[in-house]
Amino acid sequence: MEIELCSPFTYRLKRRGAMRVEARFFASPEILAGLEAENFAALEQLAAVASLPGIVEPALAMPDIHWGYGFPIGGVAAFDPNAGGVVSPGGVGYDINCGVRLLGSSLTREDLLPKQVALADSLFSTIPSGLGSKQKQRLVPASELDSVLTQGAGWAVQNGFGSREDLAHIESEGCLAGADPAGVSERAHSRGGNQLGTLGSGNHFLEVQYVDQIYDPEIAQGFGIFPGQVTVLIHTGSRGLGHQVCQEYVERFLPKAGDYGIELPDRELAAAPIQSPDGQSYLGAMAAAANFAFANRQIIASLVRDCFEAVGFTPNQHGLRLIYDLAHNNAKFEEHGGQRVLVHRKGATRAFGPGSSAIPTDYRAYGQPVLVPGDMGRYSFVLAGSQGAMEQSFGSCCHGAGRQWSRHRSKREMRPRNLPRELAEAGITLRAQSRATVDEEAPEAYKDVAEVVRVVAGAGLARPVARLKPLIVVKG
Amino acid sequence: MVRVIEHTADTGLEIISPTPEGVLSEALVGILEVMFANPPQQGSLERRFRLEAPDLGLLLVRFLNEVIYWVQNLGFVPVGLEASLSRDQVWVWQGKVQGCELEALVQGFKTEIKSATLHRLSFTPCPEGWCARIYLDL
Repeated sequence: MEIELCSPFTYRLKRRGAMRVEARFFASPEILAGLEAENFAALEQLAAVASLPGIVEPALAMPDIHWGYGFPIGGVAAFDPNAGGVVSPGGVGYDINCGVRLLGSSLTREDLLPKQVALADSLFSTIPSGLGSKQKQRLVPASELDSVLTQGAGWAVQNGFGSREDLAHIESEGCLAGADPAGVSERAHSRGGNQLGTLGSGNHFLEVQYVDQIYDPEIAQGFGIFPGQVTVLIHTGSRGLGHQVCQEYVERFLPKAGDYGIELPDRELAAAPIQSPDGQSYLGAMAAAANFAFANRQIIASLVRDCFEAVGFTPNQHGLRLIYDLAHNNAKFEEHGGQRVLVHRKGATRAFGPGSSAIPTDYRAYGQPVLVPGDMGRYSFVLAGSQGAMEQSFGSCCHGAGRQWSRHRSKREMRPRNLPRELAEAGITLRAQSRATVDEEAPEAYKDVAEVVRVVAGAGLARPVARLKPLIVVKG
Repeated sequence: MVRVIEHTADTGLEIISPTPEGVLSEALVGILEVMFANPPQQGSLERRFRLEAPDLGLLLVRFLNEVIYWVQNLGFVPVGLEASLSRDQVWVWQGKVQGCELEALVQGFKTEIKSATLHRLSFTPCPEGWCARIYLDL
C-alpha cells in the first residue's frame, strides 16, 4: 500500500486500481503503526469506498479509524447526486444516528460526591440498559411512533421530555427532514416501539462526569463549561429500529448493484444512486430512524433530570441544560466547496467551523461543539469544530477512541482483576447489567483518546476545549 | 464445528459441517455463545419459521438475524432446532425451534447484537464438506 505523508498528521493514498479519487486519512506515526499491524485492512476499506460512483475527492478517514463492515469506522465520504453519486446504508451503519449528547449542570464535583452512589443507583434503575432493553411501561404509544419518526426530538419535547430550548442545541435541531415512516417496515417498527428511552448494550453508556481540564477558557465559557462542573454524557442511537432499517436496505440494494453499474468489492458496500427511487426510499427511512435516535436521547436526558431530582437536587440546583447533541452515524446533504453533496459519516462527527449557520447562534462564534468519548476509566473531550475541518474533511472530525483489544482478549485480561473495585478506588461508581460487558469495555481495551484528539488538533480539524473525567458509569 | 472469531472490534463465526444444514444449525450454537455465558439447554416453547434467500450466504444472514429478533425483541431463546433445507428457485430453510423465555441474568447475557452482516460473508463447499464465515455487528 502506497502511503504518503502530505502534511503533519495527514496521509494520502494515491489512486490505484478501481479508486475513482484519492483517499486521505489523519493519523500520527503511532496510529499508523497500529493500522500496519492489521495489514492496513481499514485503509483497504477506505480505498474500496473511494471506488464508489460519484464520490467527491477525497475519501477520508479520521484518526480513530478501524476495520468496519464495508466502510471503515471513522470513514467520511461525500457523493455528488448530480454525478451518479450513491447512498450506501453500510456507509451510515447499522446504528443509524448513533450519537452522543452532553448535558452541563450547575453542580460541582464536590456537590455531587455525597450523592454519587444514590444517583448511580437511580440512573441504573430508571434508564433501561442491557439485552434488548425496553421500557417496562412503554413511554410512547404505538400510535405515536410515526410522529416520533417524522418529528424526532421535537416530538419528545412536545410530550413533556425536556424543553424547547434543548432543540437549538441538537444537530439539525433534532430532526432530519424528509423522514418517511412508510419506508420503515413493520418489523422495524416493532423492534423500536418499546425501546425509546433505552440505552442498549455494548459500547453504549451513560456517564456522569466532571470537568478536570479547560484548554480554551473563552470557548469553554461560550459552551457553558467551567472547571469542576458536573456533566452527563449519553451515548446511544436508534436501537433495534435503526438496525432493522439498515439490514433491510443493504439486502434490497444488493441484487440491484449490477443494474446500477456498481461494482461491490464488499457486499456491505451495497449502494444505490442518490436520485434513484431506491436511494430516495433509503434516505427517507434513514431520516426516520435518525429522528428515532434524536428522540431517544432527548427522552433519556429528561429521565436523567428526573434522577437528579430523585436524589434531592432541585431543578435550580442541578440546572441541567443541553450543551450539544451530535450524530456519528448518518448521511446528510451539505454544501462544501460550493457543491451540494451527500456526506456519509460512519463513526465520524460533523465539526463545522465558526460562522456556520448550522451552528446554534450562541455557539456560532466558536465553532460547533464536537464530543469525543474515551473510555470509562480515563476521560472524554469537548472540542470545537474549525475552519480547517471545512477545508480538509467536509466539516468532519473523529468520534471516539476506537478499540485496540478484541472483546475476547479484554475479558481474558480482566478475568483475574476486579474492574468495578479498581474503578471504585479511582472514584468511579460503576453500574452494569453484566460482568461480561464491564470486562469487554475495560479502559485498556480502547486506545487512548488523547492521542486521537492530538491528531485532529494537530491537523487543524478541531480545537480542544475541555476534558471530562467519569464519576458514574452506567453500561448495558 | 463452530468457532467464534474475534479481531479488535469485530466478532464473527467460522463454521464447518459436512452439510449446509449442519452449517446453519451450528451457526445457531455459535450466535448463542456470543450472546450468552450460559446458553439454556432446555425449553418447552416452540416457534415455526420459514426463510428464503437466493444464496446460502444470504440465507445464513437472514437466519441469524431472525435469531437476533427472537432473543432481543421477543424474549425467546432458541435451544433446539428441527429444520430442513431445500432449493427450488431459491433456498428455503424452514422448520421449528424449541426454546425458553429470556432470563438475562440466569443465562448470563453478554452482549446485544445489532445485526449479522454481509461483510466478508462466505458459505462454500470445502474439503470437510461446507464452510461458512459471517461477521456480527455488536
